[in-house]
Amino acid sequence: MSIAELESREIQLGASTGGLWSDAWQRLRRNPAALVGFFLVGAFVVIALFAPLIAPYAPKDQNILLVANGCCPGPSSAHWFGVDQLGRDELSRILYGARFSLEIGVVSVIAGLSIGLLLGSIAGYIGGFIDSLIMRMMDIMLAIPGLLLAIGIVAALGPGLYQIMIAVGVANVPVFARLLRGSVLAQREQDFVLAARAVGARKRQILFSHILPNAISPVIVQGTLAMATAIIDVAGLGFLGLGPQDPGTPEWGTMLTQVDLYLQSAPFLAIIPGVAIVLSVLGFNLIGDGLREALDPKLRGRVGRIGRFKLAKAKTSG
Amino acid sequence: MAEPLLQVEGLEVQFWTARGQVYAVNGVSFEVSEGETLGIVGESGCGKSVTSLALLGILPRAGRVVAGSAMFQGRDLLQLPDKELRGIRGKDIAMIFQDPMTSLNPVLTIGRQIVEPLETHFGLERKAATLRAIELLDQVGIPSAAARVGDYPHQFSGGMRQRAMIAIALACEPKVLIADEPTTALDVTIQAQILDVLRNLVVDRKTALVLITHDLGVVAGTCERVNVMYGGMFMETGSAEQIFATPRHPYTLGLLQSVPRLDATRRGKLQPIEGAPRDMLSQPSACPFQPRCRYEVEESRMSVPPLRELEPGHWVACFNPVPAEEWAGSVA
Amino acid sequence: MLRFVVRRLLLLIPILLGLSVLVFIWIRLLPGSPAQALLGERATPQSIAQLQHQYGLDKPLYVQYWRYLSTLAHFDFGSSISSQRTVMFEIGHRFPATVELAASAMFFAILLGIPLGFFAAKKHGSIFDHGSLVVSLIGISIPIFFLGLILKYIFAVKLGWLPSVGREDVLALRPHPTNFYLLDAILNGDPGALWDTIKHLILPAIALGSIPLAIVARITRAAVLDVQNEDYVRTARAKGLPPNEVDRRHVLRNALLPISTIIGLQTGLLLSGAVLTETIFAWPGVGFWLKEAIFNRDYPVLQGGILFLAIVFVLVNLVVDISYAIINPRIRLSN
Repeated sequence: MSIAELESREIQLGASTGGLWSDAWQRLRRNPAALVGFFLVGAFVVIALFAPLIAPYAPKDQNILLVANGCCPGPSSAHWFGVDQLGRDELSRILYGARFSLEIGVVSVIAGLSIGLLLGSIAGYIGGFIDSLIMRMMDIMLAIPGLLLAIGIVAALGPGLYQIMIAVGVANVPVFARLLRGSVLAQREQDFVLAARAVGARKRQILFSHILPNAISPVIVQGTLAMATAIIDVAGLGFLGLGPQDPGTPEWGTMLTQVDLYLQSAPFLAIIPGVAIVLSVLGFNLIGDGLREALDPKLRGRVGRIGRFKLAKAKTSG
Repeated sequence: MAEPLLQVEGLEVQFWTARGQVYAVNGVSFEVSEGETLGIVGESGCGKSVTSLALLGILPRAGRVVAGSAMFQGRDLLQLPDKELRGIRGKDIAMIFQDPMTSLNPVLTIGRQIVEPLETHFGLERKAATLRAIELLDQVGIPSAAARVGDYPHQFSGGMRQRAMIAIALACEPKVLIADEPTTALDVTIQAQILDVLRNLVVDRKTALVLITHDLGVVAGTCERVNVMYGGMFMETGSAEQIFATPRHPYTLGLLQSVPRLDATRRGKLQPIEGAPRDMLSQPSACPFQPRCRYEVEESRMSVPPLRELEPGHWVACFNPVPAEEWAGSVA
Repeated sequence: MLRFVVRRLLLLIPILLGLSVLVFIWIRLLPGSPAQALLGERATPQSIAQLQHQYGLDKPLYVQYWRYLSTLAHFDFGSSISSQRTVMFEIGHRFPATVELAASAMFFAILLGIPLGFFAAKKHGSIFDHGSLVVSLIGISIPIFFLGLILKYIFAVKLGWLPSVGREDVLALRPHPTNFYLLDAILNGDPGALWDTIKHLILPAIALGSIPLAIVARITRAAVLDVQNEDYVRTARAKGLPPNEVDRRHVLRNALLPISTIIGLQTGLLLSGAVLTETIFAWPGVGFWLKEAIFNRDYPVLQGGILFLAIVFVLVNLVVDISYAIINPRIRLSN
């Protein structure tokens, strides 16, 4: 029995227990890294949704008296994360900041994803001239590195919340278009699609009921990872001063812009929003990685944790 | 009879996988002498390839030899430290793999890949080794070998790649050659050519050949002794004549009956073996073939049948062997 | 091989034309009239009229595009509003700084990433493997500017080991014939200057190189794990080759194929990351210049800079494609 036979045999055993999705869910549940990811993202979403209820202060409330003796007093019982250079409660600002990241991230990814999906599936399914036209356009957009494209768009539209959403969303379009086109091309030649065509199903019907559902799993993985990138890019644009123009807005990247001046006296002002960004990005990356592994048939059935342990035991005893 | 060159006793190999322990090889014994060709036959997944990988110490990471010995020139291959085994591997015992499409490195030239064992085992200089590589390619029947030695695998056809694989295996003139499904991936005409190359080797150089295959036709024309393997065990062992003329194990019979024959009557139907191969996820406690067997008896479920010698040199692991005339009768 | 290179070069033409169209449209989307945008706030009616005539802004769109294209063909990206110097002059001055930084970052990422990923794969399932996975995942999740700030705080502000801004000691007045400071220091035979330049490079290069490092390590690990299970690696082992030779000649050489592709894609990330890194470390490169241009609404600079970086990105990927073909005989020998 060769390795390949061994693995294909395991895949058969695996496939018999349920469908692709329930199987993937089973694997995801056993993946501790993905669980950490779910926890981080869950906390991030809850905080974003309920920030006004959780936050002890309003994010823009200034209390100059607190910084009268220099910037900036560190953590205390009244202000767990300390206050910033204008005496605003850092904890409340961080909690409110989650709203911006989540809102911009979700809107821009969904916008980029839906336009990319549409273009990619049209290109992949129709093929020919339309395919070349769309994909060359995507190539040209991809020739401009993501953040630079976003910078250019924000420069044209002016800085601000919606502009950032559009910029990050547009930068996502070619990524999803390419991904979906590849998937659709691969699915188009599958037996069940040929079968549907043979019995005379309509083109659009084949695309929506046969091809897209099967091409969607890499899109879900990419979507999760794109959320991570979007949060980083949004913070990056904020850091460059292209974020919301009201400097009081508690956007994480924007909060990091001004701290350069206070790095010596109050490093926590840089560390806290930074860590908030890292944790939420890490959460999406962990889920994306876990999903990819769970959905990838090639990775199924590799030697697992328990197997390793037994192997080690067998080694020492044998 | 000559002293056996390679003598394998009670080999057991297991795999540790996410789905649990896989009992891939469960006590296999055989021996092969100079100039002899030994066949190991079975369907895919029965443990044939794992047996050969275990002998060379190149099992995948998840696999371990848990019992047995393999004596070669007074040394037990299974006990040797890797460094010593490496000196034997490719030099005294070489292997030809199943799929010539994937078994050659795509980014190295054919010549480079033939030269490697020569450099490693004989310390040959690049130039001398390349000359030898050309000679080897010529030997296995590659036309204008000197011009092709610098080619990459993708520039070779399937049959030529398998010839190149054989050239690699022959580079150090091994005493034992293990050929794992050497013809499976090839067209029928090329199969015959490759088998010819192997046969000549056995005759001319007295190489001991272990031919692993699922193809009974390949075995019938090439091997002196044949082992029929199922579920990681040998079900039947005998001379090629004994196995093909009077198969005594129900599994062997089943294999023979599922091969289409030109001389069979039109009305005679092929008889496939019902059911699926064993999953090998548990230690065998009964006859591995019992769930698919038409001849099963009470005992088959209770314990593993040992190999018993029914006539000189013909061993069968079955509690209820098929009558000797059964196969002859079904053909007539 | 030659045909492959020629075909790839020909494929560049539509991409470059497309880029020019994109930027042309972008200029027309800028707030105010294009002439106003390109001249800035100090625009006078005369200068606007002159520019409108120069770019043919009073002509139909396709004429305008044609004129725009011919100025680009002469590498004329216009002049900076804030410095009055031509964009090409500024790029010639600043691009070496960005190249030096990006190359050092990539050097750091490759030099560390490939061995890290390789050993993680070799010790698949071990604590080292799990640890490297976690570290690389965190590496991917850290925004460059945050890492830059932290590095700056620890090694420049707190410990004072390394300088925090610029490319060299501000008081040093050294000649810079090439603007590649490392090269200049070597050309001048000045070890002190070389050390000073390296010290200034370390922190920004690590900050910029962290994400490529994490990605290179992950891809290397995945590629090695994949290649290790290939049949030809089994063949190599069956030949009795020593393990290090199996790894070097058979595993790594094949694993390099996906790694080289990723390295090409990462240069894009480096170029956009340069904007952030150069901002933090006041590195006088193209990125820092672009960031200032955003605030000065210096549209000629933005237009020229972004177009220039996009062209660089396209060219780097061309080079990567060609070197991919060199390691992969299947492409090298195809006609």
